[in-house]
Amino acid sequence: MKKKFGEKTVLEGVSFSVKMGETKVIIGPSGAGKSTLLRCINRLVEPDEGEIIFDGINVLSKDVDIRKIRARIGFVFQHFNLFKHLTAVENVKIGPKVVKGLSDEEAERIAIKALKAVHLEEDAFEKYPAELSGGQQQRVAIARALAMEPDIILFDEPTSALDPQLAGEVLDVMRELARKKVTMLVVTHEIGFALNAADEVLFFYNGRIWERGEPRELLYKPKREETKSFLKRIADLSL
Amino acid sequence: MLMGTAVSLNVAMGMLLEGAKMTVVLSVLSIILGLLVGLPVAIMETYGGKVLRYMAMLYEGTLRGIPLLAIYMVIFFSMPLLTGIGLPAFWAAVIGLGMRSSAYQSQIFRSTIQAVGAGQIEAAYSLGMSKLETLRHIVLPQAMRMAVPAWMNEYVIVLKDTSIALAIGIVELTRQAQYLVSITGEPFRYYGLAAFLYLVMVLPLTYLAGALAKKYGIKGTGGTSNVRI
Amino acid sequence: MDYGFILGQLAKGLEVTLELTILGFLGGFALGFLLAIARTYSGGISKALAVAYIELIRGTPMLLQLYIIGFGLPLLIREYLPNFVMNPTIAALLGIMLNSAAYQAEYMRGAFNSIESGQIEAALSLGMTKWKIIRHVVFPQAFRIMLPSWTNEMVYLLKYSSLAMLLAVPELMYMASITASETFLYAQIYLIVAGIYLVFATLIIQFMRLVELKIHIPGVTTIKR
Repeated sequence: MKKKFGEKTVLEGVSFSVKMGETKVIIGPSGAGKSTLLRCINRLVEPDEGEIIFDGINVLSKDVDIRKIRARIGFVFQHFNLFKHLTAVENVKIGPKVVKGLSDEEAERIAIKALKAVHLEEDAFEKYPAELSGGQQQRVAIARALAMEPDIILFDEPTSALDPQLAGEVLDVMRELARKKVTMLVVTHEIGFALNAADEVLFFYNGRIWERGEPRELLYKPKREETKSFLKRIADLSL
Repeated sequence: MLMGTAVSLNVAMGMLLEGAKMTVVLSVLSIILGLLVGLPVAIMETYGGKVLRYMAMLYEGTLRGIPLLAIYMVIFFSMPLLTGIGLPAFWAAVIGLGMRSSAYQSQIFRSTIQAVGAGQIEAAYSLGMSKLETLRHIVLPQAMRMAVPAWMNEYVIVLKDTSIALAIGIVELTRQAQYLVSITGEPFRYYGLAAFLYLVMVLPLTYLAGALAKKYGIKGTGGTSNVRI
Repeated sequence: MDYGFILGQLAKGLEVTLELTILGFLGGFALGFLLAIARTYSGGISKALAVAYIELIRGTPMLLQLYIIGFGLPLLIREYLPNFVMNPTIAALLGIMLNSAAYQAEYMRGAFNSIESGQIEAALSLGMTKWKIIRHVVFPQAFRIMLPSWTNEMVYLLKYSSLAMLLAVPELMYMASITASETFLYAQIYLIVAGIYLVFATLIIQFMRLVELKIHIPGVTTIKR
């Protein structure tokens, strides 16, 4: 897959696959095209060339109804993007109700189940996003994705807008999902999460997959210079 | 004159431009009067004591809650009967429009004066400036600059509202068009020409205001998609 | 002269003024919504037409627009229906609606544009269609953001409906002027009328403030003290 913004090539020949039940983690310096890659998968951004095969369907072909695909791909954003005018429950309900056309009671049941799965405190269910902490907001956003019963969930730096303690709540939920074999593709700087939850780690650099491998292999014994210096910088920051 | 009289385009344009001249004169005098009254009202509202502030708000609220047409009627009909002071129609038109505009201009300046950061004022006090010096040298120059886009929008509103002065006998652009329509029976032609002349005066100003708002306006005080009053 | 008679006349006028204001606002909202959607979410010819309409209306005085509709439109209709007579109240109402639509469209566009792109991205990611996004995400938020401009617009229409007087529509200003010329109480009547407008403008502002408080959602709108 390739993607250009004007003259700048953001993604340059990237190829990989995610199997059912797998957790794949993408790391790399900012501007490496990680975010763009995720947005190409559900076509929030249109790639220039290449193909994306999702459950045997070419997502980029013209006769695909992209909305049906998007309904099966969860997306968790860096800045949560909860609907500001809806309470936590309503945020999770809206997908099943409006997109899948389920009844209000059915949607409510699914929403409450999803919110419990992300351990949202009961007294936060009826609160608006602005009244929730960042960690709570991001967990509601994960619940919103889960409620659609997606085949895969894409995470775009889900903890980088949170301070470490709140990030912890969110990472705990994500680890739990990984254990339950929810298929996930996660862009993150959380090396700890990559170590104990990922099946494979991809290191992105200059719009390419620069190095890839088993988490322990890649994170403890990186082969290429760029990978080493990136990991060293991350380690320095967290000290 | 008889309905259906033909008027040459030259003559008609001459009459309309004559009207447009009155429109411009009236609008310029009114916006200046509005500035001269509105700015002090804004300063009273932001820096005055309780009584001054209350009076300024009352002034603003009253003029903003009454139609210009009613303001004109009060100035033109009620005032002479109550006070014995009668104004010529032209000055009644300027004063009515100018006072109404002062209420809106005071609102514009109030919001930009408040938008000058507290840090600016602290810095000025730290240099030993007095309250008045701070207002004159620090606050007003910044507030006035930020007010430019909204102020231009206000001018556009004043310009369009000069048409209402025809109700007290002022012969401006819309009145001239009305006269041409009454003698020729061709409303689309002459109201259309008048509309064209208004657009020629207004559009450059709204686009300039929009561009300036992007450059140094503050949110909610200018630009083409701003709330009308 | 009898003040009961005067107030009775003014009350009749007030009724027409309020009708012009409320119906003008509602009609302006319906057309304005379409214009705003065309200008914000469409392209090509429909967008260009919406922009041209909005600029034309906002660039010319409302009084001139009322004259065109009051005196021009009937001529046009008479080409097809020779005996057509335009009711001035209908003409004024039409003019007010058409005028308000352009301004309301701009308020709505401003509100639509103030919705963060993340909100739209999230809705797209759930698989929503454009219309569902407008209905379930954009509109509920834009509606709340827009309320203060609506208040302004209602007060504006209340005041500017007085221009209908110049089409001889029996609204408040017109009733005031004929009653004044019958009674010669010019001074008193115009002051009373100014007071009536002021009272109703204040009522609109206070009522809309209650609505704002009622539908306030933290994070979407801020409530001013």
